[in-house]
Amino acid sequence: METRIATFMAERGDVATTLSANVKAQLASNEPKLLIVFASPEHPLAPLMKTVGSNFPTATLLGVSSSGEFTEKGDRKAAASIFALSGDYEVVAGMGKGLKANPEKAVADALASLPRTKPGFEHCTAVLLLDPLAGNGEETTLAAAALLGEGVRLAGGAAGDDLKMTSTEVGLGTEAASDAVVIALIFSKKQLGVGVSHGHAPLAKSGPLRVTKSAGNVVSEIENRPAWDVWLEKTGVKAPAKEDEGAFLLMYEAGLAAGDAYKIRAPLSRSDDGSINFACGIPEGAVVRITESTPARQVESAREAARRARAQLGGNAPAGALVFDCICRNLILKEDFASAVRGMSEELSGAPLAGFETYGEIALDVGDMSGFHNTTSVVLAFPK
Amino acid sequence: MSEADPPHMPPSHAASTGPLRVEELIAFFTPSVGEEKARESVGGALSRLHFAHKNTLDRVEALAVLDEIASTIGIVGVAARFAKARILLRKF
Repeated sequence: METRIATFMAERGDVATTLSANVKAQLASNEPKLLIVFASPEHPLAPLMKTVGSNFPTATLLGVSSSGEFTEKGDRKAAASIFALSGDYEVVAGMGKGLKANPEKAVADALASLPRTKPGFEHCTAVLLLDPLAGNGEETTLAAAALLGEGVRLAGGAAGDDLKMTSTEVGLGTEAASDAVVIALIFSKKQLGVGVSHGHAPLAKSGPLRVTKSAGNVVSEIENRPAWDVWLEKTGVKAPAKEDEGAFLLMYEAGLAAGDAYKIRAPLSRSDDGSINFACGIPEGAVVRITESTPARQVESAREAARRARAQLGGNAPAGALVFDCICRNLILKEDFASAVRGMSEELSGAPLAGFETYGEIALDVGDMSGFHNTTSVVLAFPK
Repeated sequence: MSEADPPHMPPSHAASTGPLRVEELIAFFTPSVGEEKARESVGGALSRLHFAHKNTLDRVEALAVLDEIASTIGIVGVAARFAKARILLRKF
């Protein structure tokens, strides 16, 4: 059975009904196995999922709050988009809660009732959606990788909330929750493609900076000074208005030296004491560099992620893709963000794609030692 | 250093026999906490276990180092438990 993928985006009116009707029209008689809705906080996740779920009672339905939504046709703010997959797939999913207190238990709970194999389906790929404000994106991803084993590749993203940095949600079925992780296992007969790439480099004037005081995801001091003061000084940016601090931090993320590259870590918000809250743990003693990017590198790295995903399809043509794209790309490209989305679609021969602007991206291939990323595009491509 | 790509370490199964080099152990932590903290964490555990003179570790020694680090609170401990799960799958 050939893979068919439907995507759609809606902004006004009865968004859930509009999304559902368009998926039905695009898939015709093909029943979706997996549906994922990406929704701005303008469209509360739980009621949206309830309506979509009622239209597709046999599909596995996931949801995530977002900071921007897109399909191959363009991008929007304050909208909702949907991705629907039909074909030779079996999809199961679970939710784990209490992510902040104990990410390993939350992951174990999400996976507890899920089968790890499906007869007749050789490949398994996991999709993770998590609440980044729990502050342990990497911890959650590593816990999932450890429990799923080396043969299961991971892709996914961290929820957004239109840069408010106050409440992010993930959903399964008709339930949406904060402080939670949702894990779906996609069993397939052909290998899916996972591509990841970023376009950030250290600021010329940001040398190595040692984290001298931190707890979990909260970095209080860098080089024995308040972290926020160091961020302002090294970037040379005048202190932004409170409502613009999240966008400022996501333009200048932290880079950890890791072999031939930098692993990027997203600062999400600052506290009144000058500490900075990250999307995952940053231990004392870690050495970071403040990074930035250019519009050209952002467009090219998005294309590169799509090329890498396609290269893993074993010569099969792409049927479509899920895309988890860092909100920083949108902040850097502004109205040109659509060109990055277009570029990804072009690399996939114009195949449909849908996704959202994230506060963190997840991609872990066989042999990788880390799976939580920032500033990247992660493309999960499906073969025809 | 290139800035284009996130780090992809060598697949652990690519070196799935024989003793584990200390550098390989450090590589488990590097993407999660950076090179400097990875070296500090592994180096500290090696010293506490009196393995500081070793460049390679057998399976029991490698797991002991990871157990030592796994008790650390936060991302370093989680990364150690992840590394342990991967090491347990390796053939020595």
